[in-house]
Amino acid sequence: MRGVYAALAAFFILTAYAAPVSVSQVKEQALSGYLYYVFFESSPASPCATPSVNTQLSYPARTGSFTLNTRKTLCLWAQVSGFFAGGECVFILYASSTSAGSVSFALSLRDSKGAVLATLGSGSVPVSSTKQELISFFACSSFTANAGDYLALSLTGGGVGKTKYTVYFGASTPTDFQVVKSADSA
Amino acid sequence: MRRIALLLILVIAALSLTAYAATVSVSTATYQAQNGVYYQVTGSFQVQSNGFFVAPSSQTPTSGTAASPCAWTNGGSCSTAVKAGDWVYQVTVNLTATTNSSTTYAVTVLWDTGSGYTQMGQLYFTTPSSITAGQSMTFIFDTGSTSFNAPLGIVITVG
Repeated sequence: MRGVYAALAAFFILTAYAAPVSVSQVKEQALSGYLYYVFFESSPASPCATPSVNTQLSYPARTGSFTLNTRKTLCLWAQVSGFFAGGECVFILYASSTSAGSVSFALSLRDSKGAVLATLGSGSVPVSSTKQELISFFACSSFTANAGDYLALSLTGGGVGKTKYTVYFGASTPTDFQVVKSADSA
Repeated sequence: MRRIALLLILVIAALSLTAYAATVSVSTATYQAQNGVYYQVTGSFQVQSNGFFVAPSSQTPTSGTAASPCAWTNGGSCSTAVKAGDWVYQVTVNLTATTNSSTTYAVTVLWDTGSGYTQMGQLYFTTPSSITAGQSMTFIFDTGSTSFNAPLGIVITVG
């Protein structure tokens, strides 16, 4: 009988030893996942009153430019739906201007008629006479878009006088904005 | 005879407990995926994705490899070799109270633009001898590409 008890004790000890081995697979690390939507401008910015899609998720082959005057506002439009996590969004503007100035921007969620449902984030980038890539990282709120809703990124020419801003888009000068669709980290 | 039966019952019960315990412990180490995003439930760093931009100029770094990790510089950066005109991707890593000091870690970025996850790049860094939670450093990866399509998935591992 002693042998039986000894065998059972040994078995339980082995069982208790074997179970924690797999725990060692969890090593010290951080893992984060993101799903990005990058809306590349594909045609000139349009008025902000009514949605008119002028961005695309695929890298644009076409190139072009448009002019933005001081105190005037134009919009980049993208159709979206579903939940977006927000977080840090990105706006990239390829632009130059006739004199030093700035372009302010604001990202908003709009309904199918262009009415603002939520303002998600905003910022400003300095523009000079040199054509260059201008990058702005900005905080943007999470939001849920219903079918038929749009994201609108408004661009407003800053400064005084008659400064004209030339905004470039397309291949090699990809004006775009980037929004985090979903994110998770640990 | 009764002793033998009792013994058999005990052995069966022990085997059942073993099988149950093994299953539970394995599940704690499993990665999960949801809507294209991977996540895990442990971590000693805070990681912030900063997005993409086009590299304005080329860079040839002297550190960031396993043999020569970047030294931790609060507010500083660590970069792969960058070619002007390529899209680059930027990540900010923050130290936490549970980060180990004087330890070398790798920041690994995988991305998927529609044809499966591939490694974008990997950079090594060494944590400072004294950890201050909240300190941050930026890591820059050349995607090796002058264009890409969205939506795209990103997985960042620091470990």
